[in-house]
Amino acid sequence: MAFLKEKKNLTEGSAGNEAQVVVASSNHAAGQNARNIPLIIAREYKARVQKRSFQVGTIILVVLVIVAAFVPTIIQLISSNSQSKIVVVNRASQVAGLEPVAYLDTQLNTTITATGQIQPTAPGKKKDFDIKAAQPGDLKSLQQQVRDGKLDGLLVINRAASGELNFEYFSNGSPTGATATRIQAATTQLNFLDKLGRLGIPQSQLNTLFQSPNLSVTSASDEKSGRSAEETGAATLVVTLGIILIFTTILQYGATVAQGAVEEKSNRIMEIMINAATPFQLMIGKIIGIGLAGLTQIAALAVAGVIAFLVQDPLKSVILGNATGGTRIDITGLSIGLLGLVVLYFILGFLLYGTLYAAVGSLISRQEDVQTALTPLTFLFMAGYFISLFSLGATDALWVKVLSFVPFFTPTLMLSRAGISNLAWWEVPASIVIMLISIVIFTWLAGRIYRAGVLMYGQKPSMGRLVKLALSR
Amino acid sequence: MALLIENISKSFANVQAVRNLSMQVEQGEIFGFLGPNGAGKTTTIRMILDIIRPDSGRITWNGAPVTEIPRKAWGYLPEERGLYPKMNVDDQLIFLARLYGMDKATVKRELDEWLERFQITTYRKKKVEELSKGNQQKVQFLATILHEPQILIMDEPFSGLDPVNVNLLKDAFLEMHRRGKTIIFSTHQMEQVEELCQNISIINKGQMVVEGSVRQVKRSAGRSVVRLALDNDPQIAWLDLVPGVSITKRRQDYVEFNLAAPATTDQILQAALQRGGHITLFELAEPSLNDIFIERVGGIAQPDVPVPAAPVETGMRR
Repeated sequence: MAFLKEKKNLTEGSAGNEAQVVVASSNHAAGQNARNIPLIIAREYKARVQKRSFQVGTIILVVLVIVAAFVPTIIQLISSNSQSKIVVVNRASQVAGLEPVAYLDTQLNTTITATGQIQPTAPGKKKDFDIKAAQPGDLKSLQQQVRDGKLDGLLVINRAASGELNFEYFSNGSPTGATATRIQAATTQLNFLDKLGRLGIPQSQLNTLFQSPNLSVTSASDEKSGRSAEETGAATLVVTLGIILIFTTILQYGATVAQGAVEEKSNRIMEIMINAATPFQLMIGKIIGIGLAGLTQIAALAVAGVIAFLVQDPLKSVILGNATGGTRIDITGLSIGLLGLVVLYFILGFLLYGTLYAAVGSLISRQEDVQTALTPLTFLFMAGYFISLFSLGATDALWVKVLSFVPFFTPTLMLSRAGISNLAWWEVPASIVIMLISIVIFTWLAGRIYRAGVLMYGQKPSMGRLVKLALSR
Repeated sequence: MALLIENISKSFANVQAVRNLSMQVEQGEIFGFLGPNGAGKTTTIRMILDIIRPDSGRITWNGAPVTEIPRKAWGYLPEERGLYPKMNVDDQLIFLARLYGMDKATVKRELDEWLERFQITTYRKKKVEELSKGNQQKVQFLATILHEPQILIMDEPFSGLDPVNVNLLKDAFLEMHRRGKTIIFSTHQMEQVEELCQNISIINKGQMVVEGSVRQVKRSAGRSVVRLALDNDPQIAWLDLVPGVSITKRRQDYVEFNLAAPATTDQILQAALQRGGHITLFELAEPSLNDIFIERVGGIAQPDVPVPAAPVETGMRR
């Protein structure tokens, strides 16, 4: 990288009395990239990872991830423990040749399969309703039991003089609650059967009347993408979490890069470092070292998340006695591929934004100015973030397609497109190539700013100065 | 065999920091590089270190341009001190020495020896920010010399230290000299220059003002001073009336003056005796480097003196 010329023409008419000290980039240390950059990466990495705030922060995040992963199981655990105890007092004897209590038991305890079929709850699994029969003479004491909360409901089946069935439901729950609604549906069926029975429809035909129809459900969007509903669910989850993770990590660690550059200037270690290494080495080492610290945190979260996810099913079978149900997410090749893309786009995005953060940081000399100076960058990044979240609903729109190839938006936008719609085979490789090229260009530009910035004190960085320094000979 | 600086110039924006500066530093010597604040010393040093490039002129070490000298050859103690505050002493020094290409085992061996010598072994696992200022400065000093550079450039190495630590660092400094290192030493403490340096140069406004060996510089001041003390007449008021005498200092313990024709030392001595003075000191001395420094660069407005704060007066609201 020998672009330093003997004569430097840095004169600016409006510059006033400022001294622009541009560090020679081709001095002898430049030949030591292979030795110095790894050393600087190691130092920067250690400096972040050994920080108490990093360790505590990572532990807190890991705990949050694990808790979040267990929430569905916990909810299921709570809901599965609630079994509605219903006592049925039958004063109508047989209904259409059926025993009403047994009929209600089978009708209320059903589950809906993934393909939309209604099936009776498999034997051995916990039923939603515990249905028991009782004698009409116990009515008073049963009502008292409901009042005391020992029973969830009391259903009385009567037959009026006209022959019509009528039902009395006595419970603590709301009349429009889930339990009451299901009781209502079951009693409606019972009433219907009874009427048909009295009209003389034979028993054998009545039996099949309420069998669930042979309905097969297919999602048009799943058909188009060739994915199952579970796969799409997993992909959306991975993409959403991936975008949030990429966004927060780059924002946080990018600011750390800028802060690191400012720190070296404000405590004047730069004076020594600049003798031992080149500004380019310092910048690259800092970006990569801090990026690796960010990656470490992401890896810790990912490992915690995957482990928490994998222990869900065994855990469920231990505490619930069953391993299915709840949120069904299928970890398939698709979502593993997406996880790979999350990591890849994080690395590329961090390298790209890292150069910008480093360049801005190198121009500031006081810690207090960091936030202000980073504001424009934060806006640029926020724009990409919001577009990405917004694009989750419109991944096929043309403007999303176009923007997903703009390097600053690629990491999040291309990710959401890859997760939600089907990409042509060349789109991801093309976006990676575009990003790599822009990383090289921006590293070069930022390197030029950095070597002018590191020995410059007391001047406010502006966009204009940034451009001027990057383009000055 | 020398560091040769030939006609270098450097401008920043509209400020010419160094103009047409030449000097020569012999291998193995302690060279005093002096000048007031803002004279262009730091800029010159940075050009010697090839951190920045001169607009014109060249700098060579033993015939090779400094751009081709490995970084390991240089040790730089900048005027503005700085270390990574959160790094411990060991990690910090090993990191810097390895950047200069030393292997870890060698650094550790060297480090043990030096920490022992500087009596800071117990602090080696402490963060730099937890050390006293004096100890921080010792660490900084080690950061400059640990990689065994050939040329040391030290800007105010002894400032801000107590006398005990000054001696400790001075010993290490002289040890470096004994090991044959070339040392370029910058300070505002002229006694230290007289004590340590063979050759000096004084620059001002980016230009050479005085150069040569300390003795030459003193002689070239072109005059000698006389110090006279009379036990019974501390002020020696009559000296003012002697033609050719100009008083430079009236101290409690002696009066210092320059002599010019027609006055001679004999004449002064005679006059003192005639007036019944009890002579306790009569000395013919060279002017101190301090005097020469002030005389040559003093009184010149310095570029980076901060603008005085606006007067705080009532009713001066803006």
